[in-house]
Amino acid sequence: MSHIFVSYSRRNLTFVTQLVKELQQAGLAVWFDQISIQPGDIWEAAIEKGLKEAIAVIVIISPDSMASEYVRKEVNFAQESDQLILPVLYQPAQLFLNLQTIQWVDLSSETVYPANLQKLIAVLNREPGLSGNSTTPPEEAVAVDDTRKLSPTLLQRYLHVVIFIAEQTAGHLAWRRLAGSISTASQLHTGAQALALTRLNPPTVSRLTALLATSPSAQILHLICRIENDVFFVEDEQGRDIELSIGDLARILQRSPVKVLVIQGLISTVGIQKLLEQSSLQAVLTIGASGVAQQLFDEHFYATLTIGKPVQEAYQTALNRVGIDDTHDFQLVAKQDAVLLDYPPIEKRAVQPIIDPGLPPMRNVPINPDFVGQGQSLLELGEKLNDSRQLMIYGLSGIGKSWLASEFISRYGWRFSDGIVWVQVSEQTRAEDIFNQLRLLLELPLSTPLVELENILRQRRVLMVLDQANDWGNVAELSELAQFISRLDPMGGTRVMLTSWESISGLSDMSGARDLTLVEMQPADAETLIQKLIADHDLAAEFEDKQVLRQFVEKTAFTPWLIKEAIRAAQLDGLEAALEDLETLTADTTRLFEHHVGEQYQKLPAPTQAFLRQLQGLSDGFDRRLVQAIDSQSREHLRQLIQRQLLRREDRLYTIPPTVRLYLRQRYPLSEAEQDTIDQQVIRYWVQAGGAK
Amino acid sequence: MGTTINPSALTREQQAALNNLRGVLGRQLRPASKTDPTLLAELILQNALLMRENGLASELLDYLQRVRDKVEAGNPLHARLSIEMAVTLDAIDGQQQTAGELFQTTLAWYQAHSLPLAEGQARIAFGRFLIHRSQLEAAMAQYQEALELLKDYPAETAIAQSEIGRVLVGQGKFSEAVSRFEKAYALSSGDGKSTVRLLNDFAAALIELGEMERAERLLHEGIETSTQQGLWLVRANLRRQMAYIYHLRAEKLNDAASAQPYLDEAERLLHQTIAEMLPLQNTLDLAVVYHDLGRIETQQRQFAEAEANLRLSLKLFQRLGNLRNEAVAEITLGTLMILKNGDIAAGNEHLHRSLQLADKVGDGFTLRQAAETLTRLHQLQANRAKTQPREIRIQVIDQLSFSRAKLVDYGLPEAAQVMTSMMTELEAL
Repeated sequence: MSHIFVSYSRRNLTFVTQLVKELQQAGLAVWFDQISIQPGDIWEAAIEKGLKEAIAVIVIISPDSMASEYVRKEVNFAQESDQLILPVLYQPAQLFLNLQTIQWVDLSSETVYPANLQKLIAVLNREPGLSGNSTTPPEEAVAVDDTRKLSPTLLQRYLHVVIFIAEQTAGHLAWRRLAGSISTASQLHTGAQALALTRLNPPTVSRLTALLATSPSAQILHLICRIENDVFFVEDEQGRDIELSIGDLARILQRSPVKVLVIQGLISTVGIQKLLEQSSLQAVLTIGASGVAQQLFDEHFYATLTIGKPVQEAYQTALNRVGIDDTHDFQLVAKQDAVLLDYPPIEKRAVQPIIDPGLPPMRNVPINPDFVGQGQSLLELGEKLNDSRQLMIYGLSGIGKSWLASEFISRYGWRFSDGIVWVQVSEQTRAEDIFNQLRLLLELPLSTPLVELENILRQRRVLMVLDQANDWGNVAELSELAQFISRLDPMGGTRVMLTSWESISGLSDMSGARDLTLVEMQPADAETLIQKLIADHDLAAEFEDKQVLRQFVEKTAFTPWLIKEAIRAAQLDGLEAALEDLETLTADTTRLFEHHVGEQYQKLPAPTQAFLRQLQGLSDGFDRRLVQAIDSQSREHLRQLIQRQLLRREDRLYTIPPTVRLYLRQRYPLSEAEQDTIDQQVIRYWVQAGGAK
Repeated sequence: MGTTINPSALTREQQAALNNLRGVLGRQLRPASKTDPTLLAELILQNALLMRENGLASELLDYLQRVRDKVEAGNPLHARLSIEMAVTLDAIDGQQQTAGELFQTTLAWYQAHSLPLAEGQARIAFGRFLIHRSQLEAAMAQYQEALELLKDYPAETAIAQSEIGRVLVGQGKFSEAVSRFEKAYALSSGDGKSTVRLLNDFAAALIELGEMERAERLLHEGIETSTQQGLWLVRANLRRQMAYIYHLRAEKLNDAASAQPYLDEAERLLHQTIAEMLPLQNTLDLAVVYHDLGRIETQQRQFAEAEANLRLSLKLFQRLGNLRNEAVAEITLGTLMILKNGDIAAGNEHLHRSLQLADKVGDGFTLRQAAETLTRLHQLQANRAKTQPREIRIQVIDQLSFSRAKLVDYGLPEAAQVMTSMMTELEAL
């Protein structure tokens, strides 16, 4: 049974009886010892049971109750059990320490009683399990699709965490991890205060200063950047490093609402003390650990804060969950014994957690968590896009063109305030598809004439990425697209970025088009990427021998795609086999990908090879049910293809990587009859399923 | 690990499905294809709405034409394809006349053949076409005929009843609309997009009739169903309607203390609506909710919050180029400026901007509302000026004169006359 437990002093029985009656009349289940204990029940055991099974505990505040040991025990129990505590003011009194941070509902006078009782009922009605319509679990976090839509007043209803990431090598991954942790933290406690995570973009000092001046809700600042000798490396608008000393940071935080600074990285004890002394900060938490431990810590630290516990308790709970005794990696220094954050009144608390990546609206932009290095190419790309409406990124298959484009967006996408559209070009792509994507991005009716779309784009800042543009199948459509691009204002804010492994007649030769040819990574960057992947794939033991590591790095030809593949092969077939593969592959660096796909394909059992050949009959990605219609053994085939990276999977969608598709088309093209058979199987499946969706 | 939901107009999965469909249709509609055309026709019909909603109306029309050429003229499938072609033509600029003609000829064919279900559905589609042309009476006639034809098909009858209810709402006949919605509700299957839409429209009609409790129950049901179906935008809009109910309840109460809990609940629901809308690519609805919230906050004298939310809503309307809503938001902001700190100059500026915008889009209702608020502003200003030095009074008279000239330009002589009276009164002092 789920109910509300009332904790009170017997001396206030008249008031409590009236309140319980009204709550019950509002349809709420209330456990009240005067009516809930049956004759013959053992009084103390019955109370304990009633308290244990409660979802929320109403604590009646009066001098009598605050002097009662029973009430104190019940409040402590409720707090330890993460039950929702709702203090109700009957008569002013000195509160228990653990009630002092919780907003009470004032029912102390007849004037406020009716309105505030409604508020109390509304709060209780929202508590899952207490009334018929509120059985929903904690809400999932939602990602804000356009940072400009977020109102500062909305954030005042949240426990607001601002994240500042200026980490050039792994910024996106750090963001994804923290967003995931916050999302999880939001769901760990029923009835908790919802969290809002907002990412500051661009990660510049002026942006941080402006935000803290205008956002009274930001109580926690989570800082992720390179730190050396107590100097923080942040960025300027162009993405170049800017040094920020402890003193500078303290000055920025001097009059800010931020109470807790979380630093991902280590700074000296002197530095921490200086921050606490020279700013309005109440606590500084430094996190030296990474990976799973850090993620687990973040989840439980933030989750504990959502239920109103002091920062110190959140820290201890998180440490316990991580199971680490040594606190060196997670250090908390605070100005006082119990640092408490401010929470909005219960009736004003938000329900749905939100996560704002600080980016403009985006359509279909892929996420690439493994980007590393190529910082120079990123800067070059940004500069070239600044002064040209069209940029081509050239490079061999697998060199990382799409990676670079997607990393550019995750890092500098904020420059295109009206949004970003990513189009994965295929033979089916038509110019109108791209125009429709732009119309949808700008929320224009799909019937908006092209001329009007062009006019609107002249006044907007939009980035359009055409990935694998060389796959374009139709010359007339390509020409329509080229004409569209040529009509874009070269001085305006809209830009087009294309990736291709070769020049494209009609597009590459357009006036004013600029290009960037991507070559392999710098050896040092390649090694950083390999180290990171070794850690991620838990392969440290295999690479213990530095000689082997060096050999491995050299054999990857510093190509990001090949590095990823080789690490995966090392995990799958062993390091020795991976090195052998690399040996054969890198013999001809111009046809790396073809060789690699061929190798992987040959390792497949014959039925899986046949299955993969059939899959090229589908123009785009597919789900498991669709391919089940083509081959009843598809589950096992899919597993093997994913394992060999001949197929990608994102959620329920499987896709054939473009280079694998190219390989299949060149080596094993489908005959017309084979294609017809596949089409007919697919048609039958769709018709039976009631549509292609 | 917790998940982050980010629903958008078309998911990547749906896009992939659409691309596969286009690939298959492109290949299998070629003349030499041996694929059974009736199977292809079914496939196209099943996916027609998806294609239209994603801007592929012209391409869909081409598929429909090609597959219809492969189906015999006497086959009922041929007629179904013709109706779908007519619906698709309606979505293409400049093709509406052809659409109308195709509807007429196909409906004539149906009359000669006894196919009640298909004909009933065709009449509903034609009714919608007529609604788009504002021919409400003609549309009603089609829906009535559809009802006759569909009497043995409850789910389809529910759709026809809902359509009739919507027309009646448009005509301001709320009681009659409610009775139609009741019938539709009793017959509907209880799930899916059309049911949620029915619940929304039904609740809106009940709100107009003051039946708040009943409307609230329907909205709760709609929220539950839309959550199960993943219809996020619909869910957010249902919640917005719920906030409207609480706002109305508060407005009915005379004393502020009793109204407060209702306003609080309306505010809370609107905040939740905003959070639910933030991941959706629908700026217009979001801007409207920010505007609603700003109005409630103004009413509660939470001026700082109101101003932030109203300014954001105005900015979003401007970005969308939605002048009509921009004009409304300017009135609300103008009112706020006056209430907040008696800032007549700022209020005046917002109201003049509203007049200009409303005039530009020909929105007479908003134009009159802006003029009315401007008149109240000037009355306040004139009353204050009465006790102030002559120089101030002259300044006020100048402003009144400016507003009067504008009101005359916008074709609002009555409001201009009020300005003249105020000017005369001030000049006489």
